[in-house]
Amino acid sequence: MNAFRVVAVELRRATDTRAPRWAIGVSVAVGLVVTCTQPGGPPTTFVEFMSVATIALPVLVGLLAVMAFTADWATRAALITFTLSPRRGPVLAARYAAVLIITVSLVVVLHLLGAVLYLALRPEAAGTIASVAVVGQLGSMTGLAVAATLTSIAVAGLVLRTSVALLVVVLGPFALTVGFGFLPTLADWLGPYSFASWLAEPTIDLWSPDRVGVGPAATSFCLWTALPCVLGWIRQLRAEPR
Amino acid sequence: MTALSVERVSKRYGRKIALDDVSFTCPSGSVTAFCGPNGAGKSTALRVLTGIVRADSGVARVGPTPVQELSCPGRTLGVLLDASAFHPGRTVSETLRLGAATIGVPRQRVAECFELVGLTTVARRRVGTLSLGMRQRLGIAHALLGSPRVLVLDEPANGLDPSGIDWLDGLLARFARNGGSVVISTHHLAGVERIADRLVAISRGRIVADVAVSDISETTRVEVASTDTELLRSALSAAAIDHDLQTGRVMAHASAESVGRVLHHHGVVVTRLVPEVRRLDEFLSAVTDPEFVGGRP
Repeated sequence: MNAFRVVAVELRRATDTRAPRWAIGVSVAVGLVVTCTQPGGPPTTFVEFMSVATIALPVLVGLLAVMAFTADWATRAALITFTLSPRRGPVLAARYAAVLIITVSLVVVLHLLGAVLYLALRPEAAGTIASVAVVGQLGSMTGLAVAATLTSIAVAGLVLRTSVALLVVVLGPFALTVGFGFLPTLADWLGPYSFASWLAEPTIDLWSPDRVGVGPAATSFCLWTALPCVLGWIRQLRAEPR
Repeated sequence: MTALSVERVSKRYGRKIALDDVSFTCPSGSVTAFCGPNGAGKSTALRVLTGIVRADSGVARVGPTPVQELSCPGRTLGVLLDASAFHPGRTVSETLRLGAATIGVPRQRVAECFELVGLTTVARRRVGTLSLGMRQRLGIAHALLGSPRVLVLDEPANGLDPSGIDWLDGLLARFARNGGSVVISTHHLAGVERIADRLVAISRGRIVADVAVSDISETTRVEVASTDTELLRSALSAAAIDHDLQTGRVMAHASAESVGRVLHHHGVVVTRLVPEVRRLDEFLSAVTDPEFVGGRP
């Protein structure tokens, strides 16, 4: 089976049921509507406009990643998937690729839709759309979304249950951030958002007092993404579909 | 020619031995029924057979190729292990199209399979809204997508109505007549008697019978009665036909024809001559040892 076909099948599998379609549709619509209807009208620059519109995007892509990685196991459809494709490694790799493709596509599509809407709402500020700041904002948002997706994939692949994965992905980071509130330095090193923060504002400093350095980012990445990813991969290779 | 073979397969879950040195073969052009009590290891054996579970030892092959090494299993091996395992939120047509995309078969084949199982009218419905019988039909269509030469089906008749069962029996018999090999795990013994060529029985993880279905029902004993039992028994003894008296009935170990000829030759008046036909359920009860036995209410 060629790699392109496997990725195409996984893209289809991740989006061909109601739940992911509704999640995408509602989140995009709510993001844009909230931005348009905020008090004082739409912001004066496109970067500010999109900052509000994409505020829920990391949660949305996390949700989609969890659904893509747990739906097969939660509905027992893994039995069908792995009967047609008993070599699980390529299927899992394709699933990773598919979810990352969806994440990046969502960021781009949301920015394109936002640009059209912003043009319609504030034609006089059209010049702010094609600016270096927008490219930076797009890159930063892509980094955040990819980081959120990777963490969600890792947790979902490890627990293989939608409800548990959602609890861990949505509430876990929040609880830990609050829990580490009294020790902000520790939060940088052990918190789940550090890698995403570093991706959004990269620096080559190992540690920095005013932004997340490479050290805390790498530690956070290992704890919240790499380690669960490896363990989840092994679990999915071995788990017996029931 | 052997289409499918299981060679010395063992599988253990913790302390529980699910399969213990299991071996059997399924020839091309035949239907093999795989029977046994609940918990005997049927489903585990089929899972090993289809590559979804790795055996601790031994190998399952399609032709000469180990199942795990098939490049595109869906094109060789059509599988239905559990009709309830389809994603309930996917539409019926999308379920088949996704399967077709996975194994690289054209959309035309999806339409053919829909028509074959009679689900065309529910193609747009979500799988979760289908009855078990309709999901079985979907599972059979899914198994047939890649035009495989081997079918492995676990309880395919569950949930089907009588006409559906007839349809399924006909479909499987035709598949085998066209050179395919079918393995079905089933408790539907009437169907086994109608369409299966071989019966492989499993009990507590071990194969306890591997026989031609026609051999099971072949009689070797005859119940015989006469107005003069003593004369009857001496005639049988004179002809060296083994016989015994069971609760007032004489059971002769020979065919009805030979017993009839002997008694006619000796002038014995026969009032009863009934070949004992062994039923499939009796055979299975005799060779298997159920793990779960209910008490009397």
